[in-house]
Amino acid sequence: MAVITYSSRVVFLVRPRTLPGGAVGRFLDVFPVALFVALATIGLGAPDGDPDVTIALAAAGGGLIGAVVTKRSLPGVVIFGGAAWWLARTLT
Amino acid sequence: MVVNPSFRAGLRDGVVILVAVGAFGVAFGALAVDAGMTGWLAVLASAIVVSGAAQFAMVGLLSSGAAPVLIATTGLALRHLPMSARLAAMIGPRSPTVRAALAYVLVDETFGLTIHASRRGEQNLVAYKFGADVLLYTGWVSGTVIGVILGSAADPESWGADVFFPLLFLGLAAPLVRTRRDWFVAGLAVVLALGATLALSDAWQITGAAAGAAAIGAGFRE
Repeated sequence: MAVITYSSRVVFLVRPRTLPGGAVGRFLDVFPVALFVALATIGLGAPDGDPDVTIALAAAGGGLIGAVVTKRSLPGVVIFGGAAWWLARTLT
Repeated sequence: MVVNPSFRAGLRDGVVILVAVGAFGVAFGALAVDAGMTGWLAVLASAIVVSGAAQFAMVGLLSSGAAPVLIATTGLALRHLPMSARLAAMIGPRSPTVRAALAYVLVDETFGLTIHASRRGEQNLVAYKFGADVLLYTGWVSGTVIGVILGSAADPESWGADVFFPLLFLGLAAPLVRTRRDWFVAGLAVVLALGATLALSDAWQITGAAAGAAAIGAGFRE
């Protein structure tokens, strides 16, 4: 496990590189957005293996409101989303 | 002692991650012991693999043998390829030792922070990432130790640790979505991620959804 994981992490870091152009460059440019949104969606969709759409949507909604209110700050998203999750869990 | 300002910035920004990763580490330690893994092995896994998703998959597949664990690990690890390519382009020429060390803790959370730091013009991205990595690594390993000690008495889900983590990723994505293409990719990632939870095994959902959304989004013209 450690070998597979570390190999995947180091393979493109072995040599100095610049961001390639063309489709590969555009892929790498948007990959972080795709990755973090996918991680958030999958995590909120089934946070503990028992999907609860209402609470997940409340947490996501709170996080998005936090993003707008705090000008997309990371702590803002987490605090607003966490508060919405807590509220939804208390009320449902 | 003078601490590099970028390293200090990494430490500062990593505090939010420390809390989430620490809680996740507690959950992993407790789950690993509960699944029959010895405590020292769980802590060793956290220290040398440093991959929450892969380690949770490992615990879930312990009884299935080595092959399913390695297949799951590969599925989860493939997402590191574009991450390492992107990081290599950001840090420029560095010594092999520094590159090897950066790769050791190339994880979603500190990768995201480093992307943000790059966009705001952080002077020394390597020092910045090391600062964030120190906190993440400390939180992950010490969280695992606490989880191993507490065992089933630890219940991070009861206070929302499982929701805190996806919110962290939402917070990492939010500042990156600026252009029409970013919005398109974000929307697509939501759709593909939901589809992946229905069509793919757990280990391939993240990589499949993220790579699919990025590949289609790469063809989007502004």
